[in-house]
Amino acid sequence: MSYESEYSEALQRIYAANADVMSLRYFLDTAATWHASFAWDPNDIPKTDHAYPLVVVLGFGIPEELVYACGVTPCILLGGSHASCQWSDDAVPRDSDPASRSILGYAQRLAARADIDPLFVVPVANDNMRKIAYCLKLEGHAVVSIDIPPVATDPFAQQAWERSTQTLVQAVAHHVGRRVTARRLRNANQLVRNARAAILAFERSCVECPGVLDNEARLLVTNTYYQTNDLVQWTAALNELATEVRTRYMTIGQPSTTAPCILVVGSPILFPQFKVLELINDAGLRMLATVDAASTSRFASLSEEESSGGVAALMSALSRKHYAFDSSSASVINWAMERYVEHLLSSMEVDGVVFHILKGQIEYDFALSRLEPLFDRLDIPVFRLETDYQYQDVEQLRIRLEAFAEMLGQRKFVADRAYARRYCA
Amino acid sequence: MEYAGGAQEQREHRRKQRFATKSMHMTQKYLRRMRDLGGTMEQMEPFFNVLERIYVQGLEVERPRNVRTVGTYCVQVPQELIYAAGAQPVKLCSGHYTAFSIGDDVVARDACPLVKAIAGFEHMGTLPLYENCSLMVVPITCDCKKRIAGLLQEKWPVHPLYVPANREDENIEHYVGELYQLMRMVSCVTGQEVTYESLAHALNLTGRAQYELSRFLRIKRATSNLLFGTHAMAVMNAASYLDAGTWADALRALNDELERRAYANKLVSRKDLPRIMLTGSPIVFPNLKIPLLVEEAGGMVVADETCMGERGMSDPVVPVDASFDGLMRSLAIRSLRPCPCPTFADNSQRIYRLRQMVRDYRVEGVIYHVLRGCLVYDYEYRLVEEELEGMGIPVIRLESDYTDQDVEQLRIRSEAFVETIKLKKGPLKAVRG
Repeated sequence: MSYESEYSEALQRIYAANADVMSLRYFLDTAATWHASFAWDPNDIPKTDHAYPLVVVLGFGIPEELVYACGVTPCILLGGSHASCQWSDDAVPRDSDPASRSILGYAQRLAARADIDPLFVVPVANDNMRKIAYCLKLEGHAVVSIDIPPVATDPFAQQAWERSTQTLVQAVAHHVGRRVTARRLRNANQLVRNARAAILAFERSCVECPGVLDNEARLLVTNTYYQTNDLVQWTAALNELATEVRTRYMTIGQPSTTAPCILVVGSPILFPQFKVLELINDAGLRMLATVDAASTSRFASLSEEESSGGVAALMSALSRKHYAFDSSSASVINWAMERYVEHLLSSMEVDGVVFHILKGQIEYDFALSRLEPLFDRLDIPVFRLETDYQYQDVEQLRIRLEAFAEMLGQRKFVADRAYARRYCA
Repeated sequence: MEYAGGAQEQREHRRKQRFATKSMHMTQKYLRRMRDLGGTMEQMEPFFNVLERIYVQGLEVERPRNVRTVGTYCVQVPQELIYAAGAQPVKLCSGHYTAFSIGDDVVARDACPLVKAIAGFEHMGTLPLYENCSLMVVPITCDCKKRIAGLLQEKWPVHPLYVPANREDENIEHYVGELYQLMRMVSCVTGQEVTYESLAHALNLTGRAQYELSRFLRIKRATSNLLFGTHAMAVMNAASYLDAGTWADALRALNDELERRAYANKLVSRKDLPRIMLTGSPIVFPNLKIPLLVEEAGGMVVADETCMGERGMSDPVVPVDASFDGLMRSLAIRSLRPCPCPTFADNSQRIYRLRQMVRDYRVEGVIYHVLRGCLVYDYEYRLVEEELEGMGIPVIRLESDYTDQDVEQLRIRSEAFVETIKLKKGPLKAVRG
């Protein structure tokens, strides 16, 4: 499947399933525009005398506010495309995870363009990122690798992280030729905070108003946070979509609520690789929330009261907050992710957990073994779904997931009957 | 219920016994194969004996009474600090197949075999080497080490040591702080403070070991084929379980013997065997199958660029400031600056070192060893291959696991590689003749 058909087919599928929701179209367009910007023939590289500076962030792990504060919109590459994995096939080992392959594929595409002058910001959250930074540097590109201290309890960790974020800001400011001021930092924090608040409100709408948007559309929308060129407009569009979801739910009426509710935890599910979501949809499961490297960072913005002081104080406050909520794979133990899962399990009626692990992302396997006692204690069944970006395993996964869904359905039915008996007797 | 508990305990006991017996047999097999290579000398026995003591006899490391052991993993942990705090460092990286097979069920499938073997020993709890550690220092050098630190924390006191991905001045500065932190931690365990005198003494102790190592390497470089590379690697591996002084004494005796043999031109094999260098993922005892296969196939491992081999101890500490802080700084600098470990985002250092070693040891072929799942080394293969290609040195990538199942396949590939180098040398010989 070509790159173009990969993302366009996924978009068409999502559009067809959610055609009635008008506000969704903005997000479909955003995703289409972003993906189309990589769809060009490498033999037809545009020639130009002037290259404009671009800040390219590879993966999760850095506070994007800091890039916005330098007056640029970051181009954030998170992977998700099977076709882009093939672009970087020669540069990566066989056992590297597909998300990293895809990220490198995108990065190399960008690097090949003569009309842009990219600065690659690489948060060293895992081995792949560590070595991708090295590969890009050897190819002669401007790279700044950002170290994320792995032990949060280390008394020097905070200090080291603040130094890393200062390095980031200095490199970006130098690259784009614009220095960071306290006002710009405050504005960037507000911009990102509003967007994150909109995401949380949208997520709440989707949980409270099931059946209006399917799982794929929902995740596509949150994915486009990383793909938009205009975060203000994007935030407004998301608020509008959240309102439409609520309005449609009120007017259309409630769909059946018997579907088992699940949490999807683990490796991030990124557009266009929505195979897992398709399977979850087909199995008739209702996704309540996703917990991945992006989830907890939504709580990492500074509040109005916290965002005071000069540049140094703001930078320090921002990096401290971000580090406390970082759930990237950088830490020895992913406390932020574990706490968030615990919080969701206690605040939602969860029937089961689908633990998504992309092949090669061993950090999530270790996280699963740490979370298993919690699931056991709460008597919540877990389904470990290991896959990659290929479609060869889809039928096998479908059978397994259907069996899991049936089991959840049965458990729910038995629990409901027992509950009814207690009160009818 | 009581009966069921008892039966379960018995089953567990039998399981541990089976594990211990299998581990012992596996280690014995590799020790036997090493001895069967020929060319062993009496002076190598202390090294073989310590490997046998730990893995066959299942004893703990030899140490004075009341001296605690501190387990370490990668080369970034300065052993000097542990000696200075009155403890004995032991390396816990493992190459054990039996432990690997247990660890395979305990940790993620895609984790590297080295980490699986560690997890296996942790799970079985039968090896005194692990069980008697008062502290484990786990440097966070790769994803697997990062995760195993979390796993080990559940059972042992663990100090995860943050190793920065870059080595700019500010990173070194940070690492100095980390080392102070480590020093306090080890002192806490031993109850002995690190003083200027104790640190200077520890530096002298490891300095002596490094001096003997540099002598060993110099002798190897100057005269080829004085000993098999497999034996040299066993010597290096033994350093993990001996205190630096004992190891240095044993190595001095071996060096003296090697010098005598060099003078008498007493070699372990023909001089014209293909000269192979090993690089890549660590080769940890008893997983010496790659050097063994190469040397059984008629090659000669003249050098290795692996962290359990020559790289492990070769970089000396160079204090430029004689104060306590100066010594700490020199330890931090030694641990990061010259280190060619792929944990560093920019690892050009390794390429320079490889080029240097290829020239110094007159290497004719390089075997790039990749443990399955060891991503950081696998990423660097392409760069190393390109570099060596530029130097006209053939290179082969051998991927292996901690199992005997891939031995025959590896044997065929090693033999073919050795033959290729021999063929390449053939016409040259004819011209010379």
